[in-house]
Amino acid sequence: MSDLLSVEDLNAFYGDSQVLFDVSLEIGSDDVVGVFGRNGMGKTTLLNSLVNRIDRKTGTVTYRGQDVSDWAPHEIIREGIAYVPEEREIYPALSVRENLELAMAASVSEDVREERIQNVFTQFERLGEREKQRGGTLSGGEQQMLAIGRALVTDPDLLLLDEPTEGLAPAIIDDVVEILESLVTGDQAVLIVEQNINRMLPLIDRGYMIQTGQIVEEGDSEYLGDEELQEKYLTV
Amino acid sequence: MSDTMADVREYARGTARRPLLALGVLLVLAVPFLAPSQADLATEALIFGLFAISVDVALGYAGLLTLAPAAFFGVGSYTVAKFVVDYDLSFWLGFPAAVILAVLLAVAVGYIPIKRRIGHVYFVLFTLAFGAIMHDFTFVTTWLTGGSDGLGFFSPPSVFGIDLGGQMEYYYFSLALVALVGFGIYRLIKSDYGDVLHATRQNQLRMRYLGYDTDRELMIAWVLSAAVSAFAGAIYVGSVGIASPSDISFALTGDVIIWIIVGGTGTLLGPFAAAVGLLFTQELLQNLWQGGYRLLLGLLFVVFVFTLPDGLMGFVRDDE
Amino acid sequence: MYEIPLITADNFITYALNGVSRGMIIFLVASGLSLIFGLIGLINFAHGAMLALGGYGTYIVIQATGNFWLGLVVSVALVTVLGFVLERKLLYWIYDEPLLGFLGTFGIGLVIEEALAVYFGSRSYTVPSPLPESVQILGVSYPSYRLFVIAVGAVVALGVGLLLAKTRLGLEIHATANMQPTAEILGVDTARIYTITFVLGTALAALAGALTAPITSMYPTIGLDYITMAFLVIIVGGMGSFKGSFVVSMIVGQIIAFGWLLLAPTYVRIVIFAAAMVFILYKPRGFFGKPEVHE
Repeated sequence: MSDLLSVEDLNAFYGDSQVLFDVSLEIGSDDVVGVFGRNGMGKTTLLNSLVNRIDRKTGTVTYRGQDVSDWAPHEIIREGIAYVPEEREIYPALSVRENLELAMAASVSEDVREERIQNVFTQFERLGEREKQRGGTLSGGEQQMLAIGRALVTDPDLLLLDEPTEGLAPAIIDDVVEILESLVTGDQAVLIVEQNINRMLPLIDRGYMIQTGQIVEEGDSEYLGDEELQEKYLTV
Repeated sequence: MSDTMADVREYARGTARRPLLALGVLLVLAVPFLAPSQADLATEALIFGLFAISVDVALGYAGLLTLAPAAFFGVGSYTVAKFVVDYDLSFWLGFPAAVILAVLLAVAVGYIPIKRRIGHVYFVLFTLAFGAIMHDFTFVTTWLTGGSDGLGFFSPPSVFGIDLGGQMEYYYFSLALVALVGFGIYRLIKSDYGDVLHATRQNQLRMRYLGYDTDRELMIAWVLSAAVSAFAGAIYVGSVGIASPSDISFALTGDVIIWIIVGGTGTLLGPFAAAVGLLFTQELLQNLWQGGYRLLLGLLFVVFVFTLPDGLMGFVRDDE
Repeated sequence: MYEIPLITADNFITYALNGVSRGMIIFLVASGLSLIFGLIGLINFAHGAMLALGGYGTYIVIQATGNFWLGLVVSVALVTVLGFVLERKLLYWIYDEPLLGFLGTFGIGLVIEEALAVYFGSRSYTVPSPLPESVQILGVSYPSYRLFVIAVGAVVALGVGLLLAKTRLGLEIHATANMQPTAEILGVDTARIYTITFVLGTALAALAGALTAPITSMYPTIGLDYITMAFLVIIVGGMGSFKGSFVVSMIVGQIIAFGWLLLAPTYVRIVIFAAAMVFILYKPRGFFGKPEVHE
């Protein structure tokens, strides 16, 4: 199998309540995959399950042919997966640079670290200007950039993005989508979960619809662009 | 859980419960006859059992992690001793005075932290500081508390021609009081109030949404616990005849917490049984291995915390 | 009116230095406690027992070899190893339960203290000062050993302070303490960070115990007095704030050193505890607590 990541029969739980039911999906090594659904359907739980940031789960997660189902989150991350959480989770008391430093493994050499940080600052000029500023003082859009930057400095093979446009002003959403466009042309695989399907369809190779914790549809952009389908699974 | 354990459990709470209870009552009544030399120890065991019950109300039922139980126990013992030894007042007057003083102190100390909902961690540290202050106080206010000498010695009075100064007499006197107060608490906890308290500990926010004044419920438990602790302290000082700083020490607080954990938090009977059982164990071990008792007690406690967080009664009790 | 003893310039300096050395010991205890609490959220009641072990360990080595310095190093090393074993084997899985963490460490502390009581009895022990001579400083003659304690405290304060503020490890400790799940998805091995922090905190307690042995007499429950004081220091200083525990320890050291001129030492303790209670109620983050620090 040439899949980078494959998920088989994933069931996930928070406390006693089950959130995901028998979810299976695959991502190839340069795939850009979307998972779409309304709020509360299990999108974030799906990403959390992949990196084991969850109370309990059953099923198998295979990454690069290794069964990582029982690995600790940091072990999975260090295998080359980067996670951009929905809430950004920026450290408010740490500077922009410290937030970026933290994301890189201690084993990465000083030169490479600096180079990657500079790459992020080139891509996101506003972050470069605010290098010494505390994370808590950034605007929502800047925090999203920093969250993505924190993922990029790890030079990941698989990027997990949780609702990257959530809670941002329309103008900022344009910026973020632009960033994502440049990302998806790169050589890493991307898994995006979103409600905002129409902004994402041009970016993805294929996608899934998720409803109450189950995968209900699968297809390419054209198929998922169908209005009736979107009406059924996305319109609130 | 192994089948054997399930059997034991079934046995303890099922068919065997009533005969066991009857046997227990008989045994308790017969102690001074079975072991006259141990009557003092048995008295102490009963009183500490009541003390454990009182603290279980705050710690086990209300979830108030207090490190100051000994402070209230000490208030009870010192008040009675002060009345009798220094003021030459009646032993009996000491009891209501002790309880009233404990209630006032509990309200003064507990009102703000409970009202402000300072959280478990801060409550632990707040009561730790309060307990330390109370203990230090007994040493510096020599005019009030007798300092490290304590207040003593005295004998409890006669009542209806029965001299409570006698070991056996005081045993039955203590037994009557402990049974009365213990049963009162039992009834209260089995009433709706107990359920409300239990639910509050589980999920305070939910109870507030349901319209309960959870601060008030917790406050009642806290004050009740303090009052009964002081009452136990008051009975205790009549037995030993002296109020001393050890009545108010952190070591006593440590002991009562151990009894509660080993007996099972929120079970009342468990902490009582653990207090009685461990006190007798201490007496037995004292002769075999001087000083080793507390080490073994500590080990037992650690085993309980790490393997059976619900305590012994957690196994025996009907959970649902 | 209570007669205030006459303070001459000389004994003023002596008192102040006593306050600094005492403050340093309190700081060593409080900073370890604060690291463990600030990071793990664990109310570590075994901390005092670790201090006692550090002191008694030093005593044992001195009995065997006559060398205080060897005792200091060996006892701190052994207690550090014990801290590592405890954390890995017992404590790590009760972190999610504050009640169990508090009870578990209380029990472990009890076992250690009682073991000391069984082995040594409850009488107190003293250790001769390894630096019995005095030196002239600021115009007064002052015991060298206390100056040594002050120096060690200052070096530790600086060293650990730099470790937390300037190093990779410090960054990971901050990240774990404030948002543990986030640290995990940024690739930080937070279980390892917990272990390192617990062991470091325990080592500081053992160091305090060893350093205090020549100054104050030892008894099995010596740690209880120290941790009660230390808990209150970290409340006033701000839970998890390293700088806060240093500043407040220094202040408390001075209050104790000068307080007895006005009040009996026990009254001084009562005043400090009462102040801490007020802090818990009205300013639970203390003076230096950051808003995002672990609750």
